[in-house]
Amino acid sequence: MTTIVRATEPTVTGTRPPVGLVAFAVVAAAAAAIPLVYLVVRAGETGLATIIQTLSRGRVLEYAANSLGLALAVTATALVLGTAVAVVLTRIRVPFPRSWLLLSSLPLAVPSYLAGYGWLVSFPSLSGFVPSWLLLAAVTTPYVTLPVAAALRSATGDLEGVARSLGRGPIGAFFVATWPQVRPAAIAGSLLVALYALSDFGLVAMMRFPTLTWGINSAYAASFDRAQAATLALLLVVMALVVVAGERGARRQLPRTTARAVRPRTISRGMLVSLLPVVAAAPVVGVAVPLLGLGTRLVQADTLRAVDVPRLLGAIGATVGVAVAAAVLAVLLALPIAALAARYRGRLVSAIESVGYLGHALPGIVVGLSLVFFALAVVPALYQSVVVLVFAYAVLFMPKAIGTMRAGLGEVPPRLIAVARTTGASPLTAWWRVTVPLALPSLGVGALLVAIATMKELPATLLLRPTGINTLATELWNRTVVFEFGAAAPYAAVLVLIAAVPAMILSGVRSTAKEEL
Amino acid sequence: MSELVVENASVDYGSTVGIADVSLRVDSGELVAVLGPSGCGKTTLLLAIAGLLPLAEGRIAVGDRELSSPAATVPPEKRGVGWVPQEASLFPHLSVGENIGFALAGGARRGGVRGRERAARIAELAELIGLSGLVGRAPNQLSGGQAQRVALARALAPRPDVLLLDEPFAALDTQLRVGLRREVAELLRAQGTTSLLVTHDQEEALTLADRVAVIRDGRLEQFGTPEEVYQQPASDWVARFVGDVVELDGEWRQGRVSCALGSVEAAAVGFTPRDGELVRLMLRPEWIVPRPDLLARAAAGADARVSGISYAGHDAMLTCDLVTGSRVRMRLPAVELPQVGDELRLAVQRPGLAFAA
Repeated sequence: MTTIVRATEPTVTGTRPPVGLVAFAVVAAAAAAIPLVYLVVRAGETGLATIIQTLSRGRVLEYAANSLGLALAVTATALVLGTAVAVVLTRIRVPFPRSWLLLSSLPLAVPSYLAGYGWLVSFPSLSGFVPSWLLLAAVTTPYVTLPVAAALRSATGDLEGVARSLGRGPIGAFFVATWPQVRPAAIAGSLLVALYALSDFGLVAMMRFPTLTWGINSAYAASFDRAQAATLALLLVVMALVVVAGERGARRQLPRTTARAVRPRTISRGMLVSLLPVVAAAPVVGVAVPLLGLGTRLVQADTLRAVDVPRLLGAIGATVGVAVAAAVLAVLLALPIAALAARYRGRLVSAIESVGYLGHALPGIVVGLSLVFFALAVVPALYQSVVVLVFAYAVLFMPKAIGTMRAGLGEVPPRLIAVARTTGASPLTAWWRVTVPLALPSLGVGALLVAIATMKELPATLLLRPTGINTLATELWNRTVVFEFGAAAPYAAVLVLIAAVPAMILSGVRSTAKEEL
Repeated sequence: MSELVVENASVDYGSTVGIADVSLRVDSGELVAVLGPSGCGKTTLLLAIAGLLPLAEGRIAVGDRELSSPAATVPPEKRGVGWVPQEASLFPHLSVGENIGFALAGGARRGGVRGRERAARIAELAELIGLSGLVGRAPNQLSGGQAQRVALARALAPRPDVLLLDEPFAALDTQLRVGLRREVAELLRAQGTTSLLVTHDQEEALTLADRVAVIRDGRLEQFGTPEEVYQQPASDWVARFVGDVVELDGEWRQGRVSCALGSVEAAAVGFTPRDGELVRLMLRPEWIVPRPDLLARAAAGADARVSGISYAGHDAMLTCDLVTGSRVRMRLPAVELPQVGDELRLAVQRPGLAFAA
């Protein structure tokens, strides 16, 4: 049966969203805005003079320059490498193409500090810019590879043939004909990489490379210099928001043409082998070497003997506990925003949705810091409590839930709701009997994505966790920074399992973008 | 009784086509087709009757129950108006039986009196649509025709006063469409359901409906029996839209039009021509016949040569070049057809329609 949906079909009765739904969505968006708003409030209290004074200190300039330099280097590397990998995987006939694509997306599942730990186990002397740059580039390359591969698959290849027939060489033809179709995807992906590099805390801290995130943490932890920490956080947020604005702009240019894809070309075995380093670089650096280091360390006798089982179980329990709570809270907050964005248009709706996505732009350390201030000033009873920690996770990872749930809810045809209404169902009944059962998988996926991200989160957890609560990530970090690699190994191993297993499950769910893992 | 009344209804519908000042009365048990080209507003009319769009002006009522007015719209679930959408739109997460029983109470608890009543009603409807064996199937295991039948049963289950069908056969292939629409029309008549069928297919409207409402750009052009709409169209637009026409320019003279076919008896539509005024004569292709014996009755004849034959099995469309220079098309039963190049003498066997030129 063919499905022709006519453009004139109304989505729902009337076009104004129900007041109750808007109210819930506004509350959820307001919650998501707390960290940013409170950071600005806090910085405002500090006063402009102090801010300028802080910013002009030599240390601060160094942090900022390091952050920018690292972000630029990582982004450029990921852009070139990711595009190259995408071209190889879509334009050349390789054995097991699907497995290669899955393999090249794997580094996404590895938190940067886990990759850092895996390398430090084998090479404890690593430190500074170069390892930070290469490792971050390895784990972020999939942000470019996946969207560019998708764009290449839907880009029309006829143009490239035309350019060749007009006298361009293969590379010239690619840049003239295909690159313009792929560029928005590549730029959007690169800006995600830049955001990741700016926000990263765990890896740069392990490599003792002083960026803004590192500076925020040390200003807060060492001296409790709240004003300086807040100023640095504000600077970082401004950089991140610029990057996010650029990413949104690039994404808007993504073409929606569907055209005949180019058939992968067969090349000689020797050529294939020579391309192997390109395709394998990111998985090897980001996944294979760290896992190997972790694996060899784990099976050493003294490591196994020294495993503190009750402590490990406690960390697993705490991690799963906060992850489940964060997933539930994030889904609850995301639901009204997703329901609103899936069905209605308008300025208010897109404003609410944008605020809901704020967590995507805010580095974890900034959310952590701002919520520390917020809890101390507004709800001191909750300072250093699990409530604030779970709330931080929910704000940070709500965008993942909004994205998947919005897609799931949007896929429920409005006509089904209308049909249900004409057979006698009230709006609420129709929602309960039709929308909910059809959108349930996307709610589940959204919750799972939030839970996974929560289990891997490090900087906000470091700042906000109540004394006595240790997650796998904080245990790993605390041991690694004092070079107790053996004691850290079991936590790293469990984190690898957590990162890998759901990623495998979710890779079978079509509605999930690989970038979300 | 469950007669459907639409009075001066208007729907403002953003930038897309609404409806303006449409009045219809569908008698109890009657099947009315709403016919119009794509984008004419016929689906908008249906959605307004279903309560899925509010009225800007006018009213909609079933019997003495007022359903829609600019002030108030009874919500879709309380109107007693069933809807069979264009694609069957079955609930994908429910079985065929659960789809049919969607509107029936007692779903959650099986076994009770209501549960048994519900099961019986589902079985009855499944039998009615001839799909008794498929109650346990999932919607994606059905063919397009089966899915449409289930959608019909689902809409009939709560015994609606009025049933709306939105191009329910459009997505089906031709053979299935012809069979299924006849079956559905018979079923609706047997059930005595007041029905409104939206379609852009002239043949569908003319063969199925008791009466046809022709809509153009959101306005009702004509509302009448299939014969009236086809033989006495209210405007040249309706004449062209509802079927094939042969158009000839001519001069009006005392109830006849002198044109390339000779002097043809005609009725003026929508205006009163003066003698000698230029008019446009419209004929249906089957009104033109190669029979000199009819000349005396309706028209003067004209000599013509067959220049093309488009054969359609049951009949054929002939293109004829008149000696006077014009070209006409005529439809003949495909029993004994002339050949290309044959010379014929044409006559018009019933009065034509004269419109303002």
